[in-house]
Amino acid sequence: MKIYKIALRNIARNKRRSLLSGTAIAIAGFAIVFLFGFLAGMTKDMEQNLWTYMTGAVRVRHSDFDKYERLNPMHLAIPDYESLLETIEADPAVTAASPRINFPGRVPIGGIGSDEKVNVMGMGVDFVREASYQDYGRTLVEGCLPEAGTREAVIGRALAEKLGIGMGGKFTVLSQSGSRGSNAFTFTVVGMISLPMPGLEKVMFQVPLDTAQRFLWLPGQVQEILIKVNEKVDSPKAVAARLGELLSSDVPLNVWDYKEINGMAAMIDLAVKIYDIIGIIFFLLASTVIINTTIMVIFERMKEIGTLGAMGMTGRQLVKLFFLEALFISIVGALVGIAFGIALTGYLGVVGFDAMAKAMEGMDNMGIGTVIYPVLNFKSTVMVFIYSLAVTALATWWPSRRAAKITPVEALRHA
Amino acid sequence: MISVKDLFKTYVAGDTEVKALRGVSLEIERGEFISIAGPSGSGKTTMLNIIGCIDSADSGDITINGESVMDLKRDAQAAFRRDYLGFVFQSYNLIPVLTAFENVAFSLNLMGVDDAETKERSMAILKEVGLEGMENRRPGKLSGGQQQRVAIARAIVKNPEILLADEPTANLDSNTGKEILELMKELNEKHQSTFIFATHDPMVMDFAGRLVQLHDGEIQSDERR
Repeated sequence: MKIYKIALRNIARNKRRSLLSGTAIAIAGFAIVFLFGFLAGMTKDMEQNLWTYMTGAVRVRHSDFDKYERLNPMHLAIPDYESLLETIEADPAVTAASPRINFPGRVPIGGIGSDEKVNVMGMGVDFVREASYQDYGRTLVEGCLPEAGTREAVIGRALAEKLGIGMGGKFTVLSQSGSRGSNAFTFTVVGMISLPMPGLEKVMFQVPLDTAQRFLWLPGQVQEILIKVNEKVDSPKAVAARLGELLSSDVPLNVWDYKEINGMAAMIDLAVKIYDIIGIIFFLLASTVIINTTIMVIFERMKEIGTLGAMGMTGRQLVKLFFLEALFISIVGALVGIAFGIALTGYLGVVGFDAMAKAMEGMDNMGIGTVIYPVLNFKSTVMVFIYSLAVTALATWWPSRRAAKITPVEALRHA
Repeated sequence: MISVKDLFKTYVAGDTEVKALRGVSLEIERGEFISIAGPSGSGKTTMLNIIGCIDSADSGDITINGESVMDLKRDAQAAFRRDYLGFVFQSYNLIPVLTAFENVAFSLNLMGVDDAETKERSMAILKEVGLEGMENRRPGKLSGGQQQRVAIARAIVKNPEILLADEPTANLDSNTGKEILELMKELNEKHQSTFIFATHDPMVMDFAGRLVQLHDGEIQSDERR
């Protein structure tokens, strides 16, 4: 009879208590898998939204634009951007690039002279190029993309509702141009888009880049170039550094990676580390149940400890017996908890987790959408299992050592 | 073979000192069937525990086959108990999650005996103690007498030099107690192990080939029959 077999049988001696201990570990495992999966989903979602709509993985701008951004310095644009695009797209880590012009504007409701105006954010993009940058297959819910050279627009569905217009409807935008004057253009809605960030969907419309250039008096110029990169090839930071060296223009350029631009992206790195610590604390808390159980078991089995000691079992073998018993409970608990965690996380990864949609509505500027799709990865599955075993093994080894310190005569006397 | 020389042991409980052994000396030959008798608190269990290397004396010496066992380290003591000693307890002390066979076999498992030999020896000894057909019963499914038979089989299966039994009949009715003692006497003669009992049961004293009476930690009489 091997020691591990005795340990396995001992688990069944008090099924309810073993079940309780295992459940504590299972709950911790379940919660951590979901927590890590949720965090991974949120990070991925944030990264995708930031990269697609706000900062890119790397962003190229006129350096003074960043300095005076609050003043809407439309004139600080990048000329001859097409030659820059050639250099950018030659980089092996770059997967897509999007030259664009963002422009704030106001849309009068009920005629150009109306006092009731809605704030909007226009985006001029090259729709041919943009199809490989934005996922219109997911966001374009009705109609089609505008043709170059036309005054057609795709518009956020929530904005269309706000403006009270539908497909084929028209809206006029008043905006400040690159020559610091004002201009007004009327656009026709040819498509509706649904964006992951409701705050953005309430204000955004997109028009052809050449139309935006005409409207804003920025011939042959763009305000920024957003770049997506393949992180397996190189990090955004490294790509930004490389392109910063390579790109040259008549105007000074800032080539920044998204963590440099959006402080919240860097905060996520910190959050991930904090969640790692929370994960360990979860397991330590669950381990207190196992510790308690092991201590109780040792007290209850004093007579057996004494008998086994008298039979010639060494202290190390006694520790092994109690340690294995607790470890088996932990392994089963962790496996069950992680399996349930994987099942729930996998399911929500497909259908989306929107229970916190209301709370997440104000998170647009961080790039976080209202529906999070948790992601299962190596960390949220294998690492959580290893974490749980390491923490619970340490936690159970400590009280198990007690069994070795009790002398047989003490154990028999106290039995 | 067992030489106990000038053994002293004092227990301290709070402010009270209890002198359990006061200079006990004794020579025990191989194969003896000896009872250490005396009233409660006379020091018989303490003496048995010290001979069994599960307790320590304050002073004195015990040599077994010429070797002192008093200064052995903890693991060496455990190895000594495993290889040379067998214990039988008043309340049997079987491992409840193991069957009768496994309880017996575990003694040999600890010694590293291979599976085939373990099975052969365990089955043989269970038959010898009259438990053939009950090998797969757990202790909870056995009577007190049957459990004590398993405990004896567990102790004797490894052919120990010394078998130590602390009040082995105290939890049994007189008929079962007598059967157990007859069994132990038979095994003593067959296996030539030394049997040492701590008891205050007159029936055990009657069975003994030698009766050592302890009183207040000192030997009062030592009678060979």
